[in-house]
Amino acid sequence: MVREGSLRRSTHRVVSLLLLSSVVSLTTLTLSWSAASASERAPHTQSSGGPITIGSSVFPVTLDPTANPSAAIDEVIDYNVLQHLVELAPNGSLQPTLATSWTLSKNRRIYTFKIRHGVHFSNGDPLTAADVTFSMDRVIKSGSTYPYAKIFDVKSVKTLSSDTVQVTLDSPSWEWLFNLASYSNGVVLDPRTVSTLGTDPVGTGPYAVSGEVQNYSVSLNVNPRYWGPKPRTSGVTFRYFSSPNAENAALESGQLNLIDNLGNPSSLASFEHNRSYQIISGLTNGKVQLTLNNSYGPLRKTLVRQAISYAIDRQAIIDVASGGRGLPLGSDSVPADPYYLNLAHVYTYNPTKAKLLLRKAGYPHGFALSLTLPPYPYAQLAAPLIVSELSAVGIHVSVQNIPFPLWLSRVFEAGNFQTTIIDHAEARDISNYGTNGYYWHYAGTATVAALLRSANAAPTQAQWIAGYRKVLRLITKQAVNDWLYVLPEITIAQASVTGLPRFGYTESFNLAYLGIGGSVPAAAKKLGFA
Amino acid sequence: MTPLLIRRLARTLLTLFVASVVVFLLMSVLPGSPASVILGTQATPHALAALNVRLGFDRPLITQYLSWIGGLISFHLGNSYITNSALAPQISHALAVTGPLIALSLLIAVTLSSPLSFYLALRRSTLGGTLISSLSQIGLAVPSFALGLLLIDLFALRVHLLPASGFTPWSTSWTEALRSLALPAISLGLIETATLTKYLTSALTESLDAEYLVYARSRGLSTQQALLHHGWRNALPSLTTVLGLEIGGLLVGAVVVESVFTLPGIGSLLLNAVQNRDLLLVQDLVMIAVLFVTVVNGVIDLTAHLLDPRLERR
Repeated sequence: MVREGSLRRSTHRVVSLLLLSSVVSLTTLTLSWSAASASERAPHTQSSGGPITIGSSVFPVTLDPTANPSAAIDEVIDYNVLQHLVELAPNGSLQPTLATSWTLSKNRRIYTFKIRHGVHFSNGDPLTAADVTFSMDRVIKSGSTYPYAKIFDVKSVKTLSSDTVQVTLDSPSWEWLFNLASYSNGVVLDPRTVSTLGTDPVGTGPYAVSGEVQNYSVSLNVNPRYWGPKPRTSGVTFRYFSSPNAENAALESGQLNLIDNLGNPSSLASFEHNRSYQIISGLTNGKVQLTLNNSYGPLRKTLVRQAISYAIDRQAIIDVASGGRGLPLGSDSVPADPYYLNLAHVYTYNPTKAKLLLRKAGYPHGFALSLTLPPYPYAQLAAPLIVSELSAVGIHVSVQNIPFPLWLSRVFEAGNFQTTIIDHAEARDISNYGTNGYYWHYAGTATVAALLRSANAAPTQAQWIAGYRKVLRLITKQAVNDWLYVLPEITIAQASVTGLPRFGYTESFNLAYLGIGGSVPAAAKKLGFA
Repeated sequence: MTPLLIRRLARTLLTLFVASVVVFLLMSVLPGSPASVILGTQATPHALAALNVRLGFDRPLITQYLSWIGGLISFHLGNSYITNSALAPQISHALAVTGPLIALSLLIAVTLSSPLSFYLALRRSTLGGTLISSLSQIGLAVPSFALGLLLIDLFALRVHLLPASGFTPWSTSWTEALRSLALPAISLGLIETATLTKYLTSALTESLDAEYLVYARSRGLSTQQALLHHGWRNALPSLTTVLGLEIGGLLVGAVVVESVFTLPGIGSLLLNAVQNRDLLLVQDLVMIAVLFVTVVNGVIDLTAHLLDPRLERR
């Protein structure tokens, strides 16, 4: 007994010693870490001119906007690194950028641009008219990888003098100049650097790419040769998060200065009513819609499609899927479009009328329908409500969740679906309704194409607008799709961040005036920088 | 020993071959092609066909397989379908995160579980023993990502001690790199501690009743001395076997933990590659993982033979 007891005591001592030593070593490690951290933390006290870190969600698979349409590339590179002849300000207005002025011929087919003097690429190469011609030629050349080639209807490009470039269009267009500004097809490149566009795009913008870590971050330095007003930071880093929780935690712990586009609006609550943060929600070009396959069974009938539009309460969907932010839609156009028409009232929520229309269409007992969903929060959050609202009028919806690559191949390319919820993010994409074989299989594409053509040939802008509005009224009347709402871009930033773009009308997250503290010039405020 | 080495090597090669065929076939039947992901909603049938030719997807499957494997054998990991950039540097950058993460969590697990299991083997029925063994039960049940979220909340949001997420490259500052790996390694390591403690305790408890230990004690050694000198060595083979199995598990755990802490490691590289249909990258990563696990298990097998000569005679 005595022996046993003493044994126990000595064992206890050995084990305690082992435990103690590991605890001590861990504690020392943690302490040395915390000491090292104190100096690097506290971004709240940064003065104007320091670096800024932005949280975002999708890592750009390449930095070359001329090879891939991913909006994640444009967010970082467009306007900030690579510039256009003309660009869109955050409020959607056209701004002369690398062109100082331009003229349009009488037949409205020839644009003549004056190129800005004294502009250099970030590598020191001077910008010439020949560079502009090279960049535009590269879009239309055979073998071009530009993602938006079909909206860039250019016949030829010519260098007229050292500072003049002439562009001849295939046909007159009221949209071409806007497309040149809005879509990344318009970027002006340094011909000597096109081989490294994917990793090191060299441009004339306020920032230049300084590094990237796969699936993690892209860093920008200030371009010392920038021709415009000096940027207000010493550099900007975009950091990418697949989990919204991790992104929010990074903002709360001070690792991020802002989140440029909140993926899941339900996490807004933790930042609202907190004076350390500012929330900016601006409209985008994104049209979240319930796409209807017009060639599928009951959906072939206009009455059925109208019934579906009446059966869905758009404001309720905005409340559920978008944190109450967003604007109800009634057609394929957003307030930034010159031809915008508010048609949200055409199909005001009215389940009784929906049932009536279904009876008239020959479906008094409703029918079954499938809804194919991509994995995006707006679609996932809206779906349960849509399912229950449609079931209330007798349409029984079964939901099918699929990954985005499958959505692209099955729904978008093969047209093998009945309904889906998707954000059509491109600006002024009404021409989709005139594209034969587009995935919703609208029967009236020929009519719409003719209307769009004649509108673009119109001699005045007012006539063009009237022509486009005719198309909007037509597709709304036929309820081709059920347009739900304009997707908002929700930016959450530390209260001290200034110069944020107040709208999401550009794919670029415009960094031109971003800074911490200080004040933004009044002229920039007018263009939509907060 | 030599025939054993040759047997192991042959088995490793066979495993690698089978894995390469399986992963290649799996990737080729995965719906959604790289071309459709690249073109997205701007795709037209014409553009899709042209891109597929440029990427080489118009070739027969066997040609595609052979050109991939041929590249791997000559240490060319190839270029990404999506970005056209070389894959080798991407993979080595990711390994510089995941490798140290796994090593650190193993270090934590072994350092903590060894004293804990000694304590448990000797004093299971005391209050401390009950406490430790129930804690390790909880550790077995809690997934590492849940622990990770808890640690972020405690040490990054409430007390600003460690970064909530992200990674500072080793070349920028190795202390910062260690700091960014601290919480992920602790979440993986603590859970691993629970598993190791359980195995090690049972191995040690078993040896407590073994005849050689009774004999050692009859020679005048105390239980704890006997356990340290004889029991420990006899428990080592089973510990190394468990370690071999657990390293594969740690790789999977690292994938999850990397996503919680947004570390640019192998896990996030693999996830993004699958989402973007960067097929070549997926194939390369899977092969590296298979190679890693088979090599580790081979080494563990050989170590077990060294530690326990009796295995040689079996």
